Amino acid sequence: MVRFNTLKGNLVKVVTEAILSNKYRPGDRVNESELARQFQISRAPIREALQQLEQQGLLMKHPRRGMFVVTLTHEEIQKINSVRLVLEAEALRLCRRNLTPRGEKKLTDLVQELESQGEGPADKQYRLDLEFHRALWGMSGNEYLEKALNSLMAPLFAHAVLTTPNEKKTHTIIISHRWMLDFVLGKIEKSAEALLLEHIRVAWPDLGTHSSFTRDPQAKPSL
Amino acid sequence: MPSQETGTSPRSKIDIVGVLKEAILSNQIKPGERLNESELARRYEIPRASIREALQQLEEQGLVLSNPRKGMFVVNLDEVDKQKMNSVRVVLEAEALRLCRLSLSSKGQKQLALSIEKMESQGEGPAYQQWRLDLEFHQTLWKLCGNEYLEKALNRLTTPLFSHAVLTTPEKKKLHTVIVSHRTLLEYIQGKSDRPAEDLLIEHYSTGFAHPGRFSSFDPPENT
Repeated sequence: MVRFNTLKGNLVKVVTEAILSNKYRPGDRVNESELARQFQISRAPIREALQQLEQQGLLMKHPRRGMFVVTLTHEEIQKINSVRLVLEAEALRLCRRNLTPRGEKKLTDLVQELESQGEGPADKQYRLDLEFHRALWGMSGNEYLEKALNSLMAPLFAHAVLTTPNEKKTHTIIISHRWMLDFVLGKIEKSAEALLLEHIRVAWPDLGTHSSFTRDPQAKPSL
Repeated sequence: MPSQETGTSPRSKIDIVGVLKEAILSNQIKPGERLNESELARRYEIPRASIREALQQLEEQGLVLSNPRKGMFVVNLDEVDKQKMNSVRVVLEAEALRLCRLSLSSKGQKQLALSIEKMESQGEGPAYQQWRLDLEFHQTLWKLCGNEYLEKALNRLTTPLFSHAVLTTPEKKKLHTVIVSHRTLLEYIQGKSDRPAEDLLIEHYSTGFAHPGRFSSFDPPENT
């Protein structure tokens, strides 16, 4: 079993590296039997490795067609962010309610680390970004909320990593994390939804009309 | 050759999922019971790989929960699980209600009304039939909201809740109050109610969500 898990772990690393270095491109099929031939191993560990990558958001499963490197359309991004808005707003409110000194330190440290990133590689920034959001979800005290956010957001983060040129500055995105920290610390009065709309719009200005908060002008700011 | 990819034909996979699902819903396999891969493989004369995939699919649907190192089990929720799940459900389903209210076609409204009529015309049938109609109403609503990610999140989250309800409701109990409160949801969509969607849902979930303040940021509605 140990050997199997090491094998699987190595495969996860190899395929991740192949995707991040653009050897596989977004939308490419990742073929189980081809990998089995290439590494001359059985398909079981490969299948499990690919499943793990699916959970991490890098791969997407299409029923009956196999596994593909994540790629999202503009509309899919809008829809994901519309669901995220209501879930993460709830996480923010719960986090503010439940915050412990240790949690406060963790989030503050993460924001500082994010802010100290200069023009580093985009994938490292996104890793920190995701780490901040995950910490926030984890502090909501509701693991079902955390799980729902994780499975919803994993492909979106992976997509962002794969489509952001490495030299591109994501400075404004980084700054907007402090808003969330301030909300959790009780320094901001506006609604969690309004705050998140601003945060999401830094990276994706057009949220479309897939959320009740962007479609109905009355539902928007005050809440 | 897509069917060779998974090692089983899609047909056998679909069938075994259906068979296991029915066995769980009709209480042949009980809540909390362990689902042993090799035993099921023997019983249904199907390769273990197919059983494994079927169980994974049932896990995605929320009927089966996996416990690391212990295996797969039929869903069995405790009170805290239920409260936590409904705490997430309320924010998702409130958004689905708002979206439906903003743009539901008359055809969509008719679909929901029909689904309620079906529930109301049910006599004292088996509890699991009633819950199936209940779930059908909600799934129609989620589909009509037009955001398939919202629909998927709601499906993934609530399937265990519904399966748990099915598995724990006494056989002949008539779920009258539950049925009535579906009308309230339809009226909200039709613009006949000005109360927040969250309040209506907290009432709708009733005992499954008796203490919203525990794991959600919402208080119980004031005028209950």
